[in-house]
Amino acid sequence: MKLIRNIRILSILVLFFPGFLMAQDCEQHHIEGDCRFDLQKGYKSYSQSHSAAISPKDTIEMNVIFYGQKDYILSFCTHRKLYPVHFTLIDQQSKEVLYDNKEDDFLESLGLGFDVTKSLIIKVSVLARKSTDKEIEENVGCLGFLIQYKNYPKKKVNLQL
Amino acid sequence: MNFILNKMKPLRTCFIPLLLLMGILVIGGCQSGQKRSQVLIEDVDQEASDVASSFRQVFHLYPSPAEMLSVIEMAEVSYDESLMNSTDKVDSYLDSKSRSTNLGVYMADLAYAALFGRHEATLDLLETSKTLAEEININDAVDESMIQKARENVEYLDSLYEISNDAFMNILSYCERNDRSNTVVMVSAGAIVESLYFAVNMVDVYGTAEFLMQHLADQKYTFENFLNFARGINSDDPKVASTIADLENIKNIYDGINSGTGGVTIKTADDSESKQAKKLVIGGASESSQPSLTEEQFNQLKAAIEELRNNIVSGTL
Repeated sequence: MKLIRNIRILSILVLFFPGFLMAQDCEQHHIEGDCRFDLQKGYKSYSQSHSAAISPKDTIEMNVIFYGQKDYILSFCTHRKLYPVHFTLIDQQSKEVLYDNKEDDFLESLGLGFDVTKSLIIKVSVLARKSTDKEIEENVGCLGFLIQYKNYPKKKVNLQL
Repeated sequence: MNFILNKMKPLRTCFIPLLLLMGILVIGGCQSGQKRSQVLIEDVDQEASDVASSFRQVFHLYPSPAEMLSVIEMAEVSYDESLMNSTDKVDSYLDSKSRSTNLGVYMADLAYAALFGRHEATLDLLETSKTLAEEININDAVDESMIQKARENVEYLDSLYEISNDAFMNILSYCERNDRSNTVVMVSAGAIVESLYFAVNMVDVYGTAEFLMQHLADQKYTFENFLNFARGINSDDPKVASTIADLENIKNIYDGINSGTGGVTIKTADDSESKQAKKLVIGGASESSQPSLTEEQFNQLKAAIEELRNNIVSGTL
């Protein structure tokens, strides 16, 4: 009985404090959040994967270096109330927008091949379409950004060592 | 009254711990919120219209030494043990700056040894890194379980690579969790300088090893991102400022190189094996779109990197 009552009280607390569950440490969200479902065999996790706290009013910019001759998978994940995730890829040098996931109905995972090394700005926000205006004002959740990579299939490199 | 209190007791006994639990969690939540601003590299452009809640956060990220060096594997160059810092020197580093920067140096050496599948060197470097990590009080970042895992996987090249990468990432995330961004700067500086030291020493003569030359020029981006990160941390530790100053010569050379015209080509790839709904392939717009080094710049860069690296490993910085 006591256990049931405790559970009931905890449930009430959770219901009345929506930010309660979301006030968590985000550091590992790209590993522990939904991004992990995108882990693909043959790919390694890139050290520039990152997580941060985000609210629907925030914008996160990550300056990321992608080495050439590699395939990458970019995956974005967040709390269910904060989807969809909107991201754009911007060439750091020219500031040209290379891709906007709005054009693909806010897809959350994108394959990228880099023939040459590039430094990109990845601009991310969460649209929180399933949240009420009040929740948008109050909620802060985690955003996970997982990058996986693998080398292009080996080809002869022109070296004269 | 007594009756009411007695009836209330069970509820009170479960409510008090619950309130305490809630208090702890709420405080934890607040700490998480505080940590957010501490791990942030920059909080900039706070929106004037909504000062209370709108942020633009900017993170400057840079690759690990294993990732920086992974191109060496592709270039199929030979392993040269003499390029690494001797592990015998570990006891000669006496202050926190030389210990931290040399931990970064050994992290890059570890990645180098792991990439070439050198079991003994990998284990030796992990032990050395553990010693240094203990000396700068980040004991849990490189622990015995990691060394044991390496011992059990010495035959697997990919595992050694991943262990070396994990060791570096553990150090960074442990330091971030424990408000040691100053240590992150020093460890990363050592790792980046040692990774560049490997690269410049694999190019004997300018104009040869095109792939490595391009890789060296591309490190302009890594260097910029790292310096932006280091300048952005909120630390009054003078060792951070002096570490940034140590890198000034290399920075000036990278600032002076041809950055390339920029521009990219983008095409949509047809990859039916991929789980991703879409795949793009990004290439340079032309040969001149990428950064490049002249012979003079390459020689200057090599000299600056060697000088700084030798000062770090001799413990004279």
